[in-house]
Amino acid sequence: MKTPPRNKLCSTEQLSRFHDGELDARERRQVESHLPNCPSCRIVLEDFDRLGHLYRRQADQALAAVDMSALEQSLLTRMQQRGGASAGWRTWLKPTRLLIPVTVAALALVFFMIPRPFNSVPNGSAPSAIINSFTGSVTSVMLFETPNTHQTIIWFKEDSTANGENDAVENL
Amino acid sequence: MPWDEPTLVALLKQGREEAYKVLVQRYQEKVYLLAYGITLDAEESRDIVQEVFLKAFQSIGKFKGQARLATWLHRITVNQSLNWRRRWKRRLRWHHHPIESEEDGESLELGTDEYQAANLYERREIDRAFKKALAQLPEDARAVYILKEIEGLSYEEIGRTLNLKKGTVSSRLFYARKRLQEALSAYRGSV
Amino acid sequence: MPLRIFSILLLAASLMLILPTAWAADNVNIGIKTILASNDKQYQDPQLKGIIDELQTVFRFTAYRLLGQDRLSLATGETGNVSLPGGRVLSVTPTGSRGNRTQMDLGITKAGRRIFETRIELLNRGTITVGGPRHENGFLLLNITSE
Repeated sequence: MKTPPRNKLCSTEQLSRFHDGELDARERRQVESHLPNCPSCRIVLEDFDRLGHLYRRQADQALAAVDMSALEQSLLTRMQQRGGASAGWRTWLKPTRLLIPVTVAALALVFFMIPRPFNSVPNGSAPSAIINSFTGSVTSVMLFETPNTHQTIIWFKEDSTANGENDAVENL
Repeated sequence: MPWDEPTLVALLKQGREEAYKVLVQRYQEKVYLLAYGITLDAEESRDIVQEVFLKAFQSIGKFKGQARLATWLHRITVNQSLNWRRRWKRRLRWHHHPIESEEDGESLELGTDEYQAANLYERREIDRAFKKALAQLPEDARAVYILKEIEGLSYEEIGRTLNLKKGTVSSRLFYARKRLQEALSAYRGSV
Repeated sequence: MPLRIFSILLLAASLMLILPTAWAADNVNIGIKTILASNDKQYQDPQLKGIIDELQTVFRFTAYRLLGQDRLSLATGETGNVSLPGGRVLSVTPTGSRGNRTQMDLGITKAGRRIFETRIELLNRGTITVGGPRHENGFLLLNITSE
């Protein structure tokens, strides 16, 4: 489709602001009176609409691909684990609430007085390290796990030609 | 009756669990979309959503109520997303999760226009071209574009969220639209 | 009222016992052993006894020598650096915890340039070995343990 010729009144940046309702009243009137006579400006505005529509469609698709309720649950669990926000320390001085800290204190005293008979050891079946992400000036990376204690080993080759991080990672 | 914002903020500051639940339910989609719009990575975006709400949970005491709660969350989200992106230029997933699915999740329906394979193919091509063009935009231009097109914020609100002048918001938005328009010029007339 | 005062005093005494340990527990203690692995004449550094057996299930080096040993005690978000041979520096930054794992960022710079960077979740009292940088006639292995 051929784009009609534009004249010196056409400013796509101004059209962008017009599209967003960000022109003052005088500028807006100018553009509104210009548009009926300028097919190319009308096409630009249609394009802006189209782009916004495309973007919202992709955003809907991105949202549909996420299990929001699982995300919410995971988040609330983490927040609960963090212990909640400050609940007001003053409430802990109320008589009825003293029983809990007293019990905790007593248990703590007992716990610290008894020597620990064992040291906890890592779980034998899970890898010692989970690699969440990696980047760097490398040309190759290998990941190993030892068979007995499942110790994680990362082996990387330093990039001797060192053109920079991006080049090295591109070669992986 | 749903809580208005001042009530929600007051309850959040008291540490009420149900208030946090409401905060998450109200804003997690927006936060996810904003994070995804900047990072273009679903898994990163899920992580960022978690970090944003945990940060909000930790910092609610500092929220003075001068801006809207949404603006505050937007700010945290944009910062988290841009920091994430700057730190990890390329992420390798060791657990073989697909990085991005090419599927748009649409199903063919017999007897409708959508069953036209050629139309669907072209629509997917347009989506791909748009995604690619979006990925090539600088992150700050992308952030402005998302806040405009998804959140519908004014230039002034975008400027407050991103700490930019109105003129800068305008020029970044124009730049984003121009680049996207150029990328899709071959498909003009479709969609 | 006496019960209330006694309870508060008991709590205070317990806190004085617990807090120093708890504060230290918030810090992550990390041990780093810098090892030179090579195919030189057979040698197994006695200080690396338990480690070599495990590494030998993956590698086939004939010599393992302990070059250095460091210990870092880091708060979340704090970065500790360890000098490595060849002008390299290892940086370790605990970023949080998830279950029984400590999240941390590991990085290696050489001549001021970042050549390696990873984000991991290390099991408490678990070990990860990062290997590969060349040194002398062998390779460096960094044996990193969350203590």
